[in-house]
Order: sequence, then structure tokens, then C-alpha cells
Amino acid sequence: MNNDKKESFGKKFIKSVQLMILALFLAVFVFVVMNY
Amino acid sequence: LEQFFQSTYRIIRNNNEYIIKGASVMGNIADFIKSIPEAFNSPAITITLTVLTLFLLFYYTLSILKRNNARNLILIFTLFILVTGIIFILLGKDKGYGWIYFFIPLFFIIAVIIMFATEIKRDIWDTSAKKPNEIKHIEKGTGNNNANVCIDEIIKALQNMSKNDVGAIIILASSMLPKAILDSGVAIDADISSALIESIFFPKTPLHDGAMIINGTRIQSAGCFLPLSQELNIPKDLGTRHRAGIGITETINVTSLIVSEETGIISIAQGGKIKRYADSEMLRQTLKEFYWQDLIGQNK
Repeated sequence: MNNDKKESFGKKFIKSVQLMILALFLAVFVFVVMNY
Repeated sequence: LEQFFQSTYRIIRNNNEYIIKGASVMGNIADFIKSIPEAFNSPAITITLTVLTLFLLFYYTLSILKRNNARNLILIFTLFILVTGIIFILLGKDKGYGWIYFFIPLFFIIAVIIMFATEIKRDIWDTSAKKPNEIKHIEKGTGNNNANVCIDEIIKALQNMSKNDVGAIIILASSMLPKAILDSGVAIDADISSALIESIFFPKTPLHDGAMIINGTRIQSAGCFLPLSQELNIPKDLGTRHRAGIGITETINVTSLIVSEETGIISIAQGGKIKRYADSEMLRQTLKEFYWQDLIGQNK
């Protein structure tokens, strides 16, 4: 059961990286618009 | 005597040097503190902090949407920001009013917070609750209190109640529940036994209508009132007991075991979702997941 948890954590991490990139892109975009 | 004065003078002079050195260190610290607000004047730090704040705000909003299977909203959110941003750039010629644009994503974020208030509440409870490895189960593994006995006793009680169509709701809580819920019932703090569980849920007894809270290897309290689920998709044949069992798992990371009074069907609710027709194997699996730490401790 512990191994399952570790695997799902790894998958979750990869998926959250995608979300992080999107969030970072949006943050930079909004910042650029705000300072345009 | 002269020697004594000379040595005293030397000691004082040496100490003076230390005092002067100390003062200069304090002066450096004071300079450092003074330089902090000046550092914020540099554009690099302001930009980094602004982008970081926006990033954290967006990341949390997006992760709420993703966890609640609202992937369409992620797309809408992204497009909404991009389109409004481009429109804003095309329309806004005056400089210095850029901060107004921030209200557009903020509007969306507030909408998400209102829509997913329950999920955000659960996040707050999960982070404030103790992590599983920090929880001390009361008198773990002593006498009749070890996990396997608890599992057997709970399954036996559930099956007996199911056979006799006695309604029951048991909450398996590995962390502290909100005080309001615990206070709504009667504190028991007893060993887990099928006889006690069945007695508490026996019809027409004062505590049979509320929920029983099992914390670790102890029955913490009984007769507790739980928040009802407001979900509309729950089948109509599930009554208030099932709604309460699902409702508590929506906001707090606990498992509910529910025995239907009408049909005797045993259900398991976790994370706002209900699994019906639980047999002894499913119950054992759920309880093993609940007691996994104690079971690992015993196998060592």
C-alpha cells in the first residue's frame, strides 16, 4: 500500500508540474498586461 | 599595588575593544535592516514578488478546478484571461491604469472560491489536521485493542446490524473532527466491541440516531450530529443517515460506514462518494486502510 501511495505521488507531481507551468504562464501574462 | 592597577587598566582597555567591536556589529545589523525597504525599490524584487503572488493565486485556483473535475473551467479560465488581456491591451492606451486588469482574473477567482467553498473548507481541515504518522492511537496494540481485533469487532457489529435491519452510522476518524461535531454527541472513550456498537445503535435508545465516532482504537463518542450532504445526485432512496454519512466525508478526510435501517445494506462513504452493498471483504479492506499504521507496527 505504501508503494501505491509513492507511485500516485509521483504521478500527481508530474501532473501538478503541468498545472504549475500553466499558472506561471498566466501569472506572467497578467503581469505583462498590468504593466503594459 | 601598581601592578594591580596596571593589570586592571589592561583588562578595561581590552573590554573596551570588545564593546567597540560589538557596537560596530550592531551598526552593521541596523544598516542591514535599514536596507530591506530599499531593496524593495529595486524592480527585480517587485516583479518577482508580483509574479510569484499571481502564480500562487492562479495555481491554487487551477488545482481546485482540476481536483473537482472541472477541466472545462480551466480552459475557460485560460481563454478568459488571454482574451480579456488582449482586449485590454488593444483598448487601453493610457499608462498607469494597468492594475485595473487585475480585477478580471480576481473576479474569476472569487467565483471559483464561491463555487467550491466546500472543497476549500476540506483543504483547510486537511492541512490543519495532523498527518497520519503524527497521530498517536490511544493505547495502541495492547490487550484487546490491537487493530485486527478492532477490525473484526466492527465488521461483526455491522453485519449483525445489517442482518437485523438496525440503522447505524460509524465515522472512522484518524484526525480530530471539528469540536462542534464531537460536542453534539456524548463522549464515550471505550474499547471497540461489537456488543457495545450494537447496543448503542439499538432502536429506541437515546444514542441510536446519531453517528458514532471511532478514533484510532477507541470509540470516542456517539450520538453525534453531522452536516448533511447538499449533493443533488444522491439517489432518492438514500435517507438522512446516508446524507449525513456522505456530508461529513465531503469536508473532512474521514470514512463513514453506514447501515441502512430499511434494507440493511452496508455502505461506505469516502471523499463525498458512496459505495453501496459493501461485503465483509470490502469492509475489511476499508478498515485495513484505516488501521494500516497499526497493522504495519504489528508485522514488524
